[in-house]
Amino acid sequence: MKIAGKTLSDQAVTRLQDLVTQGFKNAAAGLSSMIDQPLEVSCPEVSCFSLSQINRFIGDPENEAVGIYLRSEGDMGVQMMMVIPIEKALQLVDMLMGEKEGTTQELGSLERSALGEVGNIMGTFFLNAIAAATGMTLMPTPPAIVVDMLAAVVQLIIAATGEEIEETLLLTVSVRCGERDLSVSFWVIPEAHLLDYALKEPVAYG
Amino acid sequence: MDNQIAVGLGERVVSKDPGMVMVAFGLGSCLGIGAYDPVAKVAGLLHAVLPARRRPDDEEPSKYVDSGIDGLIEEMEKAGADRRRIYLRMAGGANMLTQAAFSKAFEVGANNIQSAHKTIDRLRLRLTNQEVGGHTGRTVRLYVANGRMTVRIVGGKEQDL
Repeated sequence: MKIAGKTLSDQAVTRLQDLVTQGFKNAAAGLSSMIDQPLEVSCPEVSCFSLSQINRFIGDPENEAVGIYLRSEGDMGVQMMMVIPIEKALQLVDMLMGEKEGTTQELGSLERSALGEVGNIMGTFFLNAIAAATGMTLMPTPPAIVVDMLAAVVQLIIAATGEEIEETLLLTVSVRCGERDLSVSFWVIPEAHLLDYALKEPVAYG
Repeated sequence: MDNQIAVGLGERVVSKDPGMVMVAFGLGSCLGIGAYDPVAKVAGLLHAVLPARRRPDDEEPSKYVDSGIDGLIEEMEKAGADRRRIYLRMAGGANMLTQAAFSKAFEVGANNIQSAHKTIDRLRLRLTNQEVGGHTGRTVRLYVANGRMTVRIVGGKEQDL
């Protein structure tokens, strides 16, 4: 796999996957304690793509979806975005507020702020795990919530990176709560520092 | 039944097929620029992502507003259009985030619009209508048969542009 002129060996991809998995497990633990239910996170899929191909990674581009977007500041810039189909986002709000499924019918300011909290918790837990593993200092920005057509939501990533980066690395995972698929996809778009970390020879600990 | 063709990010489509409807889905900060020659009945739709091409050897001219409009008009002329008759409409260029923490990073929409106006002036083309900016994603359709162009927002109906 080649990215930004660097070749990522299988080993480096695995290293990146392991790192992001740790981050996501920690993030899921954070969300799990928030909704008081156990969550499972899939192994991250790593793909490398040109930003203009972003629509290939989504479903019907006109479907309404919620995007919770945040990025890190500090030693490394990482963009994180949670993408949730609208009906699943309404269910997630029900879980967060302890309401019966089907109670929440629309996303007002209270519901959006609840989803923002999900972004806060997951973003912070995710970055903490990455910071602990890499020794870098990472601070999340406040989350931004966008409710719109799926294609327009994911274009946020292009708006934020497109000017500088033509190709990027995308790591996605899905989250399950027992038998229920929450249909939450997490997108992580790291900047070059994370690639440098992945390319370094692993250090043997212990 | 119309033959609908999706114009993806950084792509353009030019056609004279009257049964064809070109569509660019969910434009956020991207711009959808539709061009039509009503005499030759040649239509073209560009889905540009970023404002300006930086390297002339870039192999994806349609990714950028400036080189994308150049390419669109050239291809339409090859298909029989005359640039003096071509008129343009555009939609998109939204800023999807309103939060202050991000506003600077998200000027792409506004820059795309600015670049389009500059390019249209440079090429002395006519822009007859636009629905740009704001904070909403839009889907645009261009009907080759009559040059009708429509805009739709989430949960809304197609509106003529």
